[in-house]
Amino acid sequence: MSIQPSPGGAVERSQESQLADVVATILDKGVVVDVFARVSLVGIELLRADVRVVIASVDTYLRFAESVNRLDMGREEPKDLTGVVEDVSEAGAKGKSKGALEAGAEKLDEFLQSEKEEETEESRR
Amino acid sequence: MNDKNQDVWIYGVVPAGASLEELERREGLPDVWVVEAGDVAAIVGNAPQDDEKATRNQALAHARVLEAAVVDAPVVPFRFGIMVPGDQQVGNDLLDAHHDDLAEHLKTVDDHVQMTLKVYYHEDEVLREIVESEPEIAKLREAMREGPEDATRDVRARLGELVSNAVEQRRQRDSADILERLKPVAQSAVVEGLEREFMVLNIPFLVARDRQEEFEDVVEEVAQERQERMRFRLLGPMPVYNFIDVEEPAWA
Repeated sequence: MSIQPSPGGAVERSQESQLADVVATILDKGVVVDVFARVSLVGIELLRADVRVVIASVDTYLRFAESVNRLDMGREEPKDLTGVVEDVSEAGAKGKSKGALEAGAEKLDEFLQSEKEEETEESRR
Repeated sequence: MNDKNQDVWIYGVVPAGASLEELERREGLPDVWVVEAGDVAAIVGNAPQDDEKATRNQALAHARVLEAAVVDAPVVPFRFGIMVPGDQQVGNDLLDAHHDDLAEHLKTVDDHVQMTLKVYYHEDEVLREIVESEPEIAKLREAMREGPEDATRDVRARLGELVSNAVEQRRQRDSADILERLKPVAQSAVVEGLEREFMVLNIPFLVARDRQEEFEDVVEEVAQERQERMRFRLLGPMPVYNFIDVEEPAWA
């Protein structure tokens, strides 16, 4: 992959999409024509499993609490090492039960709508 | 071109005679060729093996071929996984049989590209901000740090919930602000699901081809203003995947 440095540099640009980006983009989108078309890759289901949306759960909350706990606020003593080690092993065990949901797209109909209205208003003036 | 026993993979459709220089020039793409009929042409290639690794590689190939093609020509992207038995069927069953529909689709996507913006919080930065600005969170944090882990589970869960709500509040405000800034330079947008925690937004934008540079400039500006707290990634130009709907185009 080639990352293009943009002039200002605050935005990361990749010339080509990476797998994680691609899967969400191309699955279930794009034109389909008629019955003759054959869709038969076993891997598609596996790709579909890559499309995840994070949802909140108690596990998420406990992980957030850990993140806040480890946070360096710049004026406090860090927690002792024993606690940190426990935290790490616990985080590993909890990773498996992370709640996840398939992504759904919510279209912003008003977006285009309001643009048009603004334009119309301006042209009236 | 194509082995008679191998299926042909359909990437997408472009206008017949389109010069696809970027597609020829860009490295690391699979072999593809063009089958033309009337005003339309399909970009096709050999279908991959039917297994997981080949499928993943093909997912990248599918997106990258179309990203290269859209640099030079309007592209109607085909859904991932569509194959036909051979070049001749591409011409007859696909292009001839659907010629007018495809030409119509091409006309609709003609002047637009998709630019997908993904923004993420710098996790520590936003958490620090939350602890500093919300007294109850700071208090619970102290309580958590004083007790042993077993005894403070409830405190942790409560703290985490408050933090989660605080992140969500910021996310709503920040994503609305960013969207507001980009509205004037985009035609339309779709809010996609977040891919991970601490993601601010995931939004494909429909952008007029002749305003792409302007759009990129505004994204850069918005990103610079927020780089202390957020990381911006901009993908594209790519075909207008999120704005294609065979039955009912998003712009209809």
